[in-house]
Amino acid sequence: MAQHIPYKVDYSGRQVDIELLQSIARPVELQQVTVSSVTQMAKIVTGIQKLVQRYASLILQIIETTHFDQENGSELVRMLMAGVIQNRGRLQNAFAISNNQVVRQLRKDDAQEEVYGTMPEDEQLDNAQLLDYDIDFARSTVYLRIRITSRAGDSLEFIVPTTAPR
Amino acid sequence: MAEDITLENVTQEQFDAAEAVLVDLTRAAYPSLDLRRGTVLRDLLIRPAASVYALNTDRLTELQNKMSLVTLSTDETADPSDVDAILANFGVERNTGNKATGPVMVRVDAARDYVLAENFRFITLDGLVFLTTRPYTVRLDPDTTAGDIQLYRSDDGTYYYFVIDLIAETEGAQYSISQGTALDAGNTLFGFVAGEAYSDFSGGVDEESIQEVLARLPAAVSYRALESRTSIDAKLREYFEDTAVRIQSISSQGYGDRTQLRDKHNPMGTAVGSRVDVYMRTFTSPNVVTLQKTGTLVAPNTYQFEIAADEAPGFYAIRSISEIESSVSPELAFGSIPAIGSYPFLDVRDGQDLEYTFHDIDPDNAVIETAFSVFQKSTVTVQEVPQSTSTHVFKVELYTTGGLLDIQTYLDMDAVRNVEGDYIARCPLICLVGVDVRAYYDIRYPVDAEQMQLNLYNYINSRSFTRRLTRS
Repeated sequence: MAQHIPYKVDYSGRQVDIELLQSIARPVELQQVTVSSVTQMAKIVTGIQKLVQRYASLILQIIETTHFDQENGSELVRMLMAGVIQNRGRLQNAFAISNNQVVRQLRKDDAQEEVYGTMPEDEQLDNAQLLDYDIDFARSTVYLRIRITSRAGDSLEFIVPTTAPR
Repeated sequence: MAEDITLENVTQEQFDAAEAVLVDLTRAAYPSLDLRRGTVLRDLLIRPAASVYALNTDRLTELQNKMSLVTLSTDETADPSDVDAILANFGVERNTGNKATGPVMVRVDAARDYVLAENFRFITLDGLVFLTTRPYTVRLDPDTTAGDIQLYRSDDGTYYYFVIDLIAETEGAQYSISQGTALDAGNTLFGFVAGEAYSDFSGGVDEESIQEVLARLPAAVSYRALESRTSIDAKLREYFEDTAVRIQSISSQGYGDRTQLRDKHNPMGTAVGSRVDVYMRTFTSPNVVTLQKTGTLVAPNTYQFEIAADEAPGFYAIRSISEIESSVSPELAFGSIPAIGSYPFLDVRDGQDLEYTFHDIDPDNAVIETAFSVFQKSTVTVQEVPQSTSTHVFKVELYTTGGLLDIQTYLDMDAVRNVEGDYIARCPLICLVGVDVRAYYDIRYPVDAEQMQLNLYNYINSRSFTRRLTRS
């Protein structure tokens, strides 16, 4: 599925974040993103790229492991590491639970207009859809292809990189 | 201490508050930064800083609380060492309490030698522990030069007994037990029958509370010299801190005070100043000193003995005179001294060794001017004694203020006393109060009688020096 980034968007005056998923912005049809630490070459992101980055960060963070922010994250990685995902059906179920947790957190913060101001629609999550998924037991990896759609109507697909040791 | 606070001590509410502050501050300076949950900036910039901010806020709050004696006084969990740290800034130390002392009468079954080691334990039914302060050897024919203690035979010959001194194991007012309180031997003593407090134990003082320190702080931080009332108070308290002499309150009577008589020794009877009488209260409840005095028969059933100045320095009154093995336990007979159970007696005071002191005391008015001071002696005539042997041993209990001799010695030191002053320490005039209370209460809400007694006791004993006694 191709990414749907409008050709012309005015990003002036936007709130920005530091780029975490360094390959999101590359205009390719399908890109496996890599999570990296911030370097001296850090870039800023905004718009739907920032939305995808926030989503990815939350879904990969194990819930109840962040000191002073127990709601932060989702159950996805915990379930993967616990070995409870034994087939594709379980993986789909795990994603559904985790996606629900992440969407709830994103919308909670997005609603705080008195703190962060009104959020542009292309930074607000409309829905996250699991397009494709697979488990490679031989390499201890899972494959999740997710489409993030903003309220502005544009969407972007990305692959969540995870390794589930067993 | 502040370094004891870690992130584990920081609550969620404290962290949330710190995080909100940092978000507001950062966004005020850099409004283009997105700090929502899930952003890299939030995770890298805000959250670690919020943790440190919350931690430091917690530490600052604790530090702020520890810097105020008023705050500490309302905090029941406050560490006493924090209070001491603040007081050290003023050169003041909090009194850490005092151990009660008193004599115990030990009944034994036979006439043999008894040996008690140092720290031999005696225990009340309430679990209060008292210790001997030195080794004791008790014999029927004691070698007094070696410090032996006399073993007595009871009047009816059914048992033997001896009296030794004990000290409380720890500080506290609860160790001031009453005469007659049962004491069991905590260590093995062959032939032990029973033990009881021979007299009221005294000198037990609780650790000074923060409120008490606050009350005396003005005196404690004042100029230290024997000049004003405040500075006399400060100088004496400073010197006797952490000693057995626990000064509770002081009343100084000097130039212009009606109770000061010694500065009028001139033909005109005019006050000239420079004479100060320092009344020292070193107790919460009056100390009782117990003496064993041998009286000489002066008339049928009448004996006489003298209480020298150094035997019970500055004693206020004789509580009782009784047989040596008696316990005169009723505390008060509502205004009557001596206590019920005492022989009637006549107590005649006079001055002693006035020719050897530089203090200005009129020998012709020695009874008044040496009263309750270390220059006072007493000749006591005991009446209505059943026996008429040539001599008779009595148990004599006296109300005193502890440490008066030490205080007078300090006031007389050349390096201490004002070269223009003449200071005499005296036992305060004690108002002994008996209270009879009848409480009516709903049976569903029973009264804590012990607590009521304690509250009354503490209230009365906290009145200290007053110019006029009132009914309330």
